[in-house]
Amino acid sequence: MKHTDRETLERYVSGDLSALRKIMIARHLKNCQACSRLQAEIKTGNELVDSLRKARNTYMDFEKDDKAAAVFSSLETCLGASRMKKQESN
Amino acid sequence: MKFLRICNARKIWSCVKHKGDLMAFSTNKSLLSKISVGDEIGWEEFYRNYAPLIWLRGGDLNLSTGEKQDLIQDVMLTMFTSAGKFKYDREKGRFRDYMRTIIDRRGVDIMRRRDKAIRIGEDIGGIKDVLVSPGQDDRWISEWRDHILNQALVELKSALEPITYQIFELYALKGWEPARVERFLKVRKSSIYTAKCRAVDKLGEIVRKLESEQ
Repeated sequence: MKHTDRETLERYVSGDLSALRKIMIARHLKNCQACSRLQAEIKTGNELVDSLRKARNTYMDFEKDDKAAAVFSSLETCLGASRMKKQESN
Repeated sequence: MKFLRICNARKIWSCVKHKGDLMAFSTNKSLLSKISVGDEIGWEEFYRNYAPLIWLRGGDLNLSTGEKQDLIQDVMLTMFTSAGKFKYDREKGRFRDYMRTIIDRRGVDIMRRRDKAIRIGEDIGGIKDVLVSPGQDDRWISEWRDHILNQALVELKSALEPITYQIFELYALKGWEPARVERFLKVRKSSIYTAKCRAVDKLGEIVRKLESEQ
């Protein structure tokens, strides 16, 4: 039995194959455990990429506003105050 | 003091903006050592890594925009003052849980300051309700996962050949059609799928490594 290579399975999972090729691969997958496992791995990988895309969009929304400058300039003041307190108590 | 001498808000912000050019992430242990001695790069890295996570957690605690900024600042101050004393021991607990404890405690402090009628030390039903409300644990785990994934993406960029990463970025992350990627990057279609496979395998490896370190 000739197995399906990974690139072809990637194309199959993403729908980037002709109708006839899709039918042939679907038939093969029914009878081939190794290729079915590889198909499942590809789908798991795609789920990871979907999660990554959402996570990146969440962080990009955070980065749109200029928060860092405000945080760091306040931080500098607070650190100065806490350092002076420490020096006074020593 | 060393940190104040080297800490210039505008300089740090310009470095944070160009985060893609900075070095790959330190481990938590080395990052904590860097910030405990006021290392500027350490602070930039801490902000880059953890500010979005702290911001999101602040949202779970129903803090306002200004309060969330205060929360980031207060957590960073806590890390600065306690990082030298904190001994990272994986046997004693996960860094993820340590971070949550710090963020939640600073969040409670902000909530107390907000309501001036509340005296320090009292059990505050309202604040406790927020902390233990249904879904808080799940939201934290989900936010931590997003944090890990964003860290992994930065490491992935360093780990792959530039063209491989570009293909992955356009095809997998931005969802471009393969034909468009082919034309734009002048690559063959087969190399798009090969690059994607390589990137996804590497991504999985990096995520597993980061999760084990936390």
